[in-house]
Amino acid sequence: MLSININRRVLQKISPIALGYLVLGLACGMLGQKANISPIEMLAMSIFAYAGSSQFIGIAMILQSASFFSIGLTILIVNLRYVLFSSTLTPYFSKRRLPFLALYTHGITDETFAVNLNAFETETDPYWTQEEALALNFLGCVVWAISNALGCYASEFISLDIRLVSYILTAMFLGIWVNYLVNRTMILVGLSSGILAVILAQIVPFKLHIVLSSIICSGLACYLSIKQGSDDHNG
Amino acid sequence: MGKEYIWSVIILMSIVTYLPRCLPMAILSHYHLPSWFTKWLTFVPTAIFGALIFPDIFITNGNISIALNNVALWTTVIIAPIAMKTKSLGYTIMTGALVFATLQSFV
Repeated sequence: MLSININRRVLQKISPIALGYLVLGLACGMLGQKANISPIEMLAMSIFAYAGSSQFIGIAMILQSASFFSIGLTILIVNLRYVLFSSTLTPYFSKRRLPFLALYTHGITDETFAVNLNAFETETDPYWTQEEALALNFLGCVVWAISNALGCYASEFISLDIRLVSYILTAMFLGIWVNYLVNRTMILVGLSSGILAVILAQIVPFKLHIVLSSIICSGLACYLSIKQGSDDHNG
Repeated sequence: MGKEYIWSVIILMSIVTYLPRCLPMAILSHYHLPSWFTKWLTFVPTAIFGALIFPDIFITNGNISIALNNVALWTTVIIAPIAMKTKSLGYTIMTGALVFATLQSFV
């Protein structure tokens, strides 16, 4: 059965997310208007893609008339973290059929993932249900899509400094990034990937420096940590 | 810019956003990801956001810049400790926008 359950604790949990999505969605819509994207297109993008960083990156790349290959690959790499989120949530949906999973997974974002996982772990009286988790994703998507369309529409009448709107994107990346900088290894991987990206940006074409740098640094970190693990095991 | 280009990008974005969200949960109940792959995935987010942020703040008009008029860089230097401490997306964005607008009015 496909059903959602919007109740008080769902609304309580979605409120802080919704506030963030409102601000960010307005900014994203405004940036979209600069790239000649209409409010309807912005609405469609926000409903079907429903992703903050991907949309900002996609729009920034539309502004630069980037190739499909470069846009697709960059966004795919940026979204690889969803593989991690989706696999982490799997145990809580083990008895569900494909249609529910197909709908639920569409709404996995940095924020809804974190809040739903926490709710599944801590809400026990009564237990956090899959229908509530789906409702949370759904409400987030509604707020996100409306804010995007609104920002895009309003931007035709009020002009905002594009440098400020672009910086809001950087600030958003920073706000997401700090949640991953949990230990020295993660900080080291993040910083080296950043520095390498700046260097590669001077050399490689088509904005591929982002993808290249993150694959090289995360791959190296993975190799070293597996090697260290087996050394510890043998020694 | 053509409307066809924009709609194509929207469809492309939707596909490359949906697949990494849906496939693991749809497939994982039957198979398991290899351990090196899940290990690698734990390092991807920190690397990707580093690679997104640094060029944004260190490169202006195609050149590396640490000059005082690089507003994005100095705003980030100011708000990074706040972001690290609060770990809040909304708060980081709001202070970021505020500090950026303030610094820019001096440049």
